[in-house]
Order: sequence, then C-alpha cells, then structure tokens
Amino acid sequence: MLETALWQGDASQLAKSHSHRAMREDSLGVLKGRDAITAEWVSRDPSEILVSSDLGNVIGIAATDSSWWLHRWVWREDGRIVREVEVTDRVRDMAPPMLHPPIGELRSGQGQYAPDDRPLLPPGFPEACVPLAAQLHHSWNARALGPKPDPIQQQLLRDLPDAVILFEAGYASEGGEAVLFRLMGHYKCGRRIRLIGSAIVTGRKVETLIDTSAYAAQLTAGHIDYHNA
Amino acid sequence: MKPIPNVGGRDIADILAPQGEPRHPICGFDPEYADIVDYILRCTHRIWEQKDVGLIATHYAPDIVVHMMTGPAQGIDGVIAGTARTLSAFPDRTLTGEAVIWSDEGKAGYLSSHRITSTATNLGTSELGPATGKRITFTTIADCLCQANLIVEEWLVRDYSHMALQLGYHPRAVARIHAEGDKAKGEGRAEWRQAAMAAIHDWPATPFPTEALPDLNSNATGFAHSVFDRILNHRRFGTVRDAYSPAAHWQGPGGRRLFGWGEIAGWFTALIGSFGDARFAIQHVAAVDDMIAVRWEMAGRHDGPALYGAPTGEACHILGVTHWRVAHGVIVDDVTVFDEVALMRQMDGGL
Repeated sequence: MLETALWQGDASQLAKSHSHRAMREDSLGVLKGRDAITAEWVSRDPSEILVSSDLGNVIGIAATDSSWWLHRWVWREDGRIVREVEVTDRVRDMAPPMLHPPIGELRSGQGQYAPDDRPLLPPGFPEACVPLAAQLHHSWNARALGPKPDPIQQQLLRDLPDAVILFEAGYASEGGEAVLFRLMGHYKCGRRIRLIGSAIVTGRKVETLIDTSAYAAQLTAGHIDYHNA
Repeated sequence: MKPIPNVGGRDIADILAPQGEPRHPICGFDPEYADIVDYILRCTHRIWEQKDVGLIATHYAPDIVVHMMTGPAQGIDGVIAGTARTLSAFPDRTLTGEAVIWSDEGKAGYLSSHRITSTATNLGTSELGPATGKRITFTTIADCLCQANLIVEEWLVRDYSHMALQLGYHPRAVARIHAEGDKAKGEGRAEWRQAAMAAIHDWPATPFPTEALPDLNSNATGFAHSVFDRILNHRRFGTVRDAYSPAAHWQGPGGRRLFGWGEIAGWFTALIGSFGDARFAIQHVAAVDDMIAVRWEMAGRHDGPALYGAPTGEACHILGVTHWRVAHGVIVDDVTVFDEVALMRQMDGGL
C-alpha cells in the first residue's frame, strides 16, 4: 500500500502514484509538483503507522504509539493523484508562514441570521455524506456542543468565538463516509485562523481530526504588509 | 477532428511523447506538433527546459508584441534576451503546464491561454534583486496568438509579488526602486498606459444587471462577461454566491489563497476598496472542456487603502488573466494572475 511504503521511507513510489503536477495542501500551505512532494517525504523520518480507516480516496492513519493522527484525501486523474489534502495533528516543520491580512467575511451574506438548520454544501456533494455534514454543522456552526463537549472543539470555539466550518467535499465508499471541511475564525488579536478538518465514519465510529498543530504556527505567523516597505 | 487532449489526466512523459499525426488542421505548424495544445506544451519544454532558446526564432514572429504590465515589448530579439536573462537568474526553472485553454480565432490563428506553475532556484541576479539561492514557486499565464508555428502576439502576466515575497524581498520596496528608475529616465506616465486606461474608461457602460447569469455550459463567454461586469463594474459583490461554489478555491497575486464565498467576495470588495472609480473591460474569453480563460484590464485611481496602503491618488492600470475551472454550473477554482509589483510601481510614480 502506498501510504505504508511512504512512511517506511520509499518515496520512489511517488513517481507512479502522483502526477508531475500534483499538489498537496495542509493547514500551513501548499506544495506544488511531484518533485516538491517527494522532497518533503524525504525530509520526514520513517514512522510505523496503523491504518484506522481506508475508504479508497480517503484514508485515516495513526502513529503506532498514537502520538499523531492523519487523514489524507486524494483526487486522481487517470489513476494518478493530482491533488491531496493532508489533515494531521502531527508535529512537523512548523516554521510559521507569512500570511496576507484576512480578506472578506466568514458567513457570506448571512448578516444577523442564525445558522441555517441545514449545512451549506457545494453542488455535487454526495447524498450519503449529508448526515455527517449535518451533524458537524449542528455541532460546530449551531454550537450544539452537548453536556460533554469535545475539549478541542470547546477550546477552539472559545479562542475563536466567531468560528465557522465551511464544507469542501464529501466522499463515500463501501468502507464508509467522509467529509472535508475548513474551520475559520478570528483570534482576539484579529488574526484569522484557517484550519483544515476531516471526519471519517466507519460503522458507528466517527473520527474527526482538525489540524491543531498548525494553530500555534498560524497565531505567530507574520503578516505580509504591502503598506510599508 | 480528433479530440485534443489537454493537461488533465496525462503525466509529463505522456504529454511529451511523440503525438503522431495531427489531430486537427494546424496549417503551417511544424510536423512534430499534433495540435495547438501540443505546440504550446512542447515548444515551452524545448525552449525553457531543454534550453534551446534559439528556437524562439522559429516560434515567434520577428515583430512580435508582448504585452505586460510594465509595457509592451516589440521584436523577437527582446524575447530571446529576456528568456536568457530569466534563465540566468533561475537556471533550473521547470514550467509545469496546468492548463492550455485555447480558442480557434479563424484566419487569425489560435489563441492559447497557458497557465504555468514554475519552480526555480534563484542563482543569479533577477529583475527583483541579487541572487538569494532560494527555491521558489510562482504562477505565470501566457496568452499567445499563434499563426503557422509563430506566436505573433502575447499577453504575459506573472505573479511577481509572490516571487519577491518568497525571495525575501518586499514587493513595495522593489516597486519603489523600479519607479525611481523610471523617474530618473523620465519614462514615467507612459503614453501606452494612458491610452490603455482611456480605452477602458471609454468602454460603454451596461445597464444595471438584474437578470440571472447566463448558463456557463452553453454560453461561457456570456457568463464571463456577466460575472466580471456584475461583480466589478456594478459592484454587486454578492453575485459571487451565484457564480461560485461555496467551496470554491481562489488563488491570486502575492500567492494569496482564499476559500469560499466570503473570502472571494472580500477580494473583489478590497479591489474596489483600493480603486474606487475602477472600470473593468474583458479583452478575450476562451473556453475548453471544464476550463474558462478570461483576459481583462482595469483602470482606476488608487484612492483607498484596502490592499496597497495609503492612497496615492495615482491612476493605475492592471492587465490580468483569470482561469476558472467549473463544475455543476459554477466556478470551483479561480486562478487570477497580475503583476502587483508593476501595479505598486505605478502608485509610486513609475511606468
């Protein structure tokens, strides 16, 4: 399996698995091109991993010591991966990126309306994934946290009181359903935090992962300032 | 006519393998080119990656005009010299074709809008400053009018501010140096730019739009004109929610990356928040498969601080190219490229 081979240090697999113009995104930025993705894999130390869920184009893995989790979403053209999104809480090179100042609002055109009962989903969103998206929307956007809230969610919503999740994609296969989303909100200093999140349902188990490891890096990232040279 | 494969679904080895017989009648093109997409991708590889810069002599018209935000350049010698200068600064530059969105212009030839992701190491002095040794990635779109194996006119946009930021240079500082150079040479306020802006302001205004947007599958050109006119000329920023997927990605100058309706509408708002009297005019639209290319211009006075700092009051001109990928009747990916260094150079009294 590709994922296992890569984590065992065999980056040569990428020559066949990925298109030359493949791109990878995580909450810290974008890598463009197979060469850049290969170089990034080579920079990682090999790790022993366990596959927690495999839906085909969405896979969930964890370090064997459970020190980190990772969801990988891939999009293919003619069998080769052209885009992948990696959602992980794995501590990695956290050099804070330079960010442009935030632009625009989070809840487009909503004004003072309360969150809708139903999630706003992109056209073509798979029907099988709607219940999972609705559950996430209810919990995150409508703030139905329940009596025993998830501590990570609770902390994020306290830190980012205007946070919303925006749904990007859904994926369903015989193995289960998955939803990819983006969490955006403003820290008290006005810094916009943009984290990628992913939820995978296999059977009755829901595994939700948000890239909290990028949170601190985004908080300390420098802002690009065109105003003053 | 056989289907003309684009970039999607093909690895580089497939793209650059011999393509065999021509897939469509491209009169006057060299026999190794099977179609207009193959011509663009293959000659780019040969000239830039195989370093056969001399091939420009057989692929560009002697009196080629290359339009850039820094002004038009005329003549093939300038194209050859410019290519050599860029390769001296970035000798290992690779040019990954992301899309070739083309249109058949009849007797005028073919128009190709070629979006390129370049990765390169800065090993020599560039127009942005001394060598830094840094490896960077940047986006370029080259709109080329091609006739009989020759590019006869080109509109070239590159994300220079993203290049500068990755190299560790401040885009505004680079712009100021360039502007000072213009002023020292007495070349500020160039006539070509005044004429371009006057033409945009002369563009006839459209009635306030109230109809639904044209269907992009059956009328991509009408859709593109309506989206630009409605959002930018009529300031109806909420049209973003009609034209774009709520999960749309947007990539723009300075390497900005936005997601969703709120941020994308915010970009258009900020652009008008920087140029309050701005007028936009579309130069060309091409559509192939699920891709649309729009080349456009803006003329506006820098009278607001939204994107580029304290207003300078300068009249500014933008040449931009936008590539859309569409699905389910809406835009799902937007890549917009223009040269912010040249834009700020205008704000600082250059060009």
